[in-house]
Amino acid sequence: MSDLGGSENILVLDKINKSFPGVHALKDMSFSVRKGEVHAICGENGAGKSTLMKVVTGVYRQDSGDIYVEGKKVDIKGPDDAFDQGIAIMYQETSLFNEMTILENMFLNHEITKKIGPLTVLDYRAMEDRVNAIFTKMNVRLNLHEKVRNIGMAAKQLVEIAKALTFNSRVLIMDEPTASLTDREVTALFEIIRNLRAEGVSIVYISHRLEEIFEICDRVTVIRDGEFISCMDVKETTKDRLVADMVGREVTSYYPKTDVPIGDVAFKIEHIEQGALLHDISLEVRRGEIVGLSGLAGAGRTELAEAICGLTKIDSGRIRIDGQETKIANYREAMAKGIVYVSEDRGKYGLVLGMDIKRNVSLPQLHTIATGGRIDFEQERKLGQEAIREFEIKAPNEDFIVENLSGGNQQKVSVARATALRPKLMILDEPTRGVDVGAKAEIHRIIGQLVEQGLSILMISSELPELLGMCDRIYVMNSGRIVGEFDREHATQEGILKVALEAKD
Amino acid sequence: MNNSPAKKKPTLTTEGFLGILVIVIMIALYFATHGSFFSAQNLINVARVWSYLFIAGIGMTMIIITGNIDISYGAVISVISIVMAAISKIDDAIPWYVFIPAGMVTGAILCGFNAWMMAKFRIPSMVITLATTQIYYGALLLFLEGSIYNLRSNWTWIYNKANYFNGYVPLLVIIALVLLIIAVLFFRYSRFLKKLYAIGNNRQGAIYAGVNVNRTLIITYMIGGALLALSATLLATSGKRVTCTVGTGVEMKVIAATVVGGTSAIGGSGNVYGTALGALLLAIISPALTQLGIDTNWTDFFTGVIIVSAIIVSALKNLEKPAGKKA
Repeated sequence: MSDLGGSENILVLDKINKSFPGVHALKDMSFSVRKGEVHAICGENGAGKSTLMKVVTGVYRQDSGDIYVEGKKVDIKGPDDAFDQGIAIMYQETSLFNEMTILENMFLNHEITKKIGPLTVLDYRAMEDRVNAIFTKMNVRLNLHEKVRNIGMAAKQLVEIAKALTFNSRVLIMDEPTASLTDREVTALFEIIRNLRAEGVSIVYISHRLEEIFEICDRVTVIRDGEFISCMDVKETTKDRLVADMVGREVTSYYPKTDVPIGDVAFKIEHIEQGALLHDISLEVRRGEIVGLSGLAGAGRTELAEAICGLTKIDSGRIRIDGQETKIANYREAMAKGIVYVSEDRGKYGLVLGMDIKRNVSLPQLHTIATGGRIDFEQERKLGQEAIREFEIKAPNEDFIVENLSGGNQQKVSVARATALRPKLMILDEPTRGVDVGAKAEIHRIIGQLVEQGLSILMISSELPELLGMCDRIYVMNSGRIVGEFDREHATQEGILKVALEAKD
Repeated sequence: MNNSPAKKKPTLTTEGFLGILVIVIMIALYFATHGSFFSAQNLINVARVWSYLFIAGIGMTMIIITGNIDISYGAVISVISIVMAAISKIDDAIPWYVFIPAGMVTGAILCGFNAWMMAKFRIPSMVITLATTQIYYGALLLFLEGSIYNLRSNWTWIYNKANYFNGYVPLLVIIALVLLIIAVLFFRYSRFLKKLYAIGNNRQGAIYAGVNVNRTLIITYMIGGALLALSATLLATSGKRVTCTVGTGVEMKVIAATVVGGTSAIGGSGNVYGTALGALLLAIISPALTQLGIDTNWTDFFTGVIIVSAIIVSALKNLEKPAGKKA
C-alpha cells in the first residue's frame, strides 16, 4: 500500500479553465495525484472528466491554469508532450487501429527505431522484446502479430493497458477500463493495477462503477459541472456521500423497484437451439414482470435476445406469445407481434444519431403515421413531444439532434422509441451502460413505469446490483445455456456469480 | 483473462491469392499463345504499362490506406507531361535529369495542393480532387492548344534509346523495379507508413496518439504527386507529340490496380506489393487479348470483371470473420 500520509505529488493541475463555444467546461479546476496512488475521478456524464483528461494529455489546450509534473511547471502542447512527461492514457475503446497488428498498435507514433547507415528504420525485434516483457509482467499471452480486429473486447482492453505501459509512464489514466470486462477480467485488471502501484506508478481511475472505486482506489475526487467538489480518502467516505457529491443531492434509492401485480405468462420460449451459441434455452416472462438475464460476457445473452427478435435464425425451439405458438422470421415480424429490442450499442443499432428526436421516435412506426406515402409531420412532432415529456429527456425540443444528447438521454430516446410501438415484451440490453448515476435512476424509474402499464421486460445487465434491485426473477446464462433461475427473495450476488462462473463443457 | 494466443489459421491473403492468379494466367497464356505472349517485344510492352501503373500506384496505395483518394492523377499526369515536354523543347541539350525533377516538383505541388485544400477547408478528398481535375485540365487548355509538337531527341530518347541489357529493359522499368524494392521496405520499416494505416483505421485515435494528420496527408499526396512524373514520362515520351489529354483515364486504372491489389477501398489496410501485382494483372489484359486474337475492345470489359472479382474476394474474406460480438 502506498503511504497516504505522504504528499509527494507527481501531477498537479492548478486552476484549469477551459471553454468551448457556449460551454464553460472546466472552471478553476484543481486536481493532484500523488506518487504511487490510485486516484479515482467521479462525476456524472458531462461533469468534465474527459475534458480534464484531454487537457492533461494534450488533446485540448487549457485557456488558463498551470500543470506541474513533479513540481515543475510544464507546457503540454500536444499528445507527444504528455507522453514525454510520462503521462499516458487508456481510452475506453477509441484509440485502437483494427487493421493493424497488436504490436503496431502499441507503438504507434513512438516506435522503437534503429539506425542503418543514414536511415532510421523500425526495430521490430526490440519492440517485440519490450512488449513481451510487459505482457509477462501483466501475465498475459497474446499473439503480437494478430490484427486487433480479430481479438475480443477483453483482449483489446489488455492491449490498451499494455500500450499505456510502453511509454514508461509515471501517470497512467484509465478511462472506464472495466466497461466491457467481465468480473473475472476485472479482478485480473485490479491485480495489474496493484502491481503498478507497488512500482510507484500513479493511476487516475475514471469509472461509473462505485464498487470498483472502493475496491481499488486510495483517494477519490468528485467533480460536477466542471468544478472541483471534493477530494477524500476512499476509506473515509461512503458510497452515499460520493453519489450525493456527484449529483448535488441525496439519492435515496438507486433502484426504485415498484411493486406491480404479476399477470399471466406473456412470453415463453422452449428449447431454443442455435448452432454453437445457444443450447436448450427455455424461459418465460409474465405480464408486469421484470426478468433479468445475467451472465459473463460471452455467455450468450445478447445472442439470445437477437434470436428471440428474429435478428438471427434459430435452429429449433418454440416461441409462444400469450400462449399462442408463433414464428418470428425477422425483426419486422417481432415488432408486429409486440417484441422490441433496445440494443446495448445505441450508436450502432439503436438510434440514428444524426437525426433529431422526433424522427428517431417515429422511425419504426412510420407506416402508422403516414397516409398514402406522406408522413404526417404534425403527428410525428407530437410523438417527439410526448417522448420528451414522458421520459423526461433533457432536450430543448423535439428537433434536437440525438447525437448531442448525453448517453443517458440517448438511452431514454431509445426506450421512448421502443415504447411508442406499444410492445408486449421489451428486451433491454445493458440499458444503463455508460450512463451516469442520475440518469441511471431515471431509466430505472421509467422501467418501473413501463411494467406498471402491463409491459413485460427482459433485461440484460452486467451489473449485478442493478439486476438484484430491479428484477422479479433472474435467469443466469453460462456458455449458451440457462444455468440458474433465482426469484427476488433468493437472489444474491454470490449465488448468481457462482453459477455464472462455473466452468462448462 | 484471455491468456491463450489467438489461433493462427492458415488463410490466404488477398496478395497471395492475386499472386497465384497472375501465375496461373501467365502459364495459361504461355500454352494458349504457344509462347508468343512471352516474346521480348510483348514483354517489354507489358513491363512499360506495369511500370507506369505501379509507380503511380505507390502514391495511390498510400492515399487509399489513409481512407482518402486522389482522382486528379490523370490531370496531374497531363500537366506534368506538358511541363516536361515544354522544358525539353527549350533546348536539345537539356537532359532528362533536368526535366524529370521539374516534373516531380510540379506533381508534388499539384497533389500537395489537393491535400492542403482537404486539410485547410476540411473538404472530402473525393470532392476536392474532382474539382482540381477540372482546374488542372482547364488551366492546361488555357496555356496550350491541344498538343506540343515536334519534340526533340532529348525527350524521345527516353522511350527509344534508354534501354539497357542489350536494349531489352527500358530505363523506367528498371526505375520501377528499384522503386518496388524501396517501397516494400519503406512500407515495412518506416514510421511514416504506420501513421498512414493509423489514420485510415481510426483518425481520431491517430490524433490522440499524437499524429499530425494534416501534415502527414500533405506529405503523402506530395510523394504520390512527385512519383507521377515518372509515370508521365513513360506515357508521354513514346511519340513526337504530347497532348493535353495524355493522362486521361489513368487515375481509374491506378485506382483499379490498387484496389485489385488488396488495398481496402475504405482505407486502413493494404500493401504496396499487392498494388504491384494488381498493376501486373491490369497490364497483361490488353496484350493477352491481342495475342489470343480477341478484339481489344474487350479490354475495358475484362478490366471491370477483374476489379469486381477482386472486390468480391476481399468481401468474402471479411464475411468470414464478422465483427466480434459480445454478450
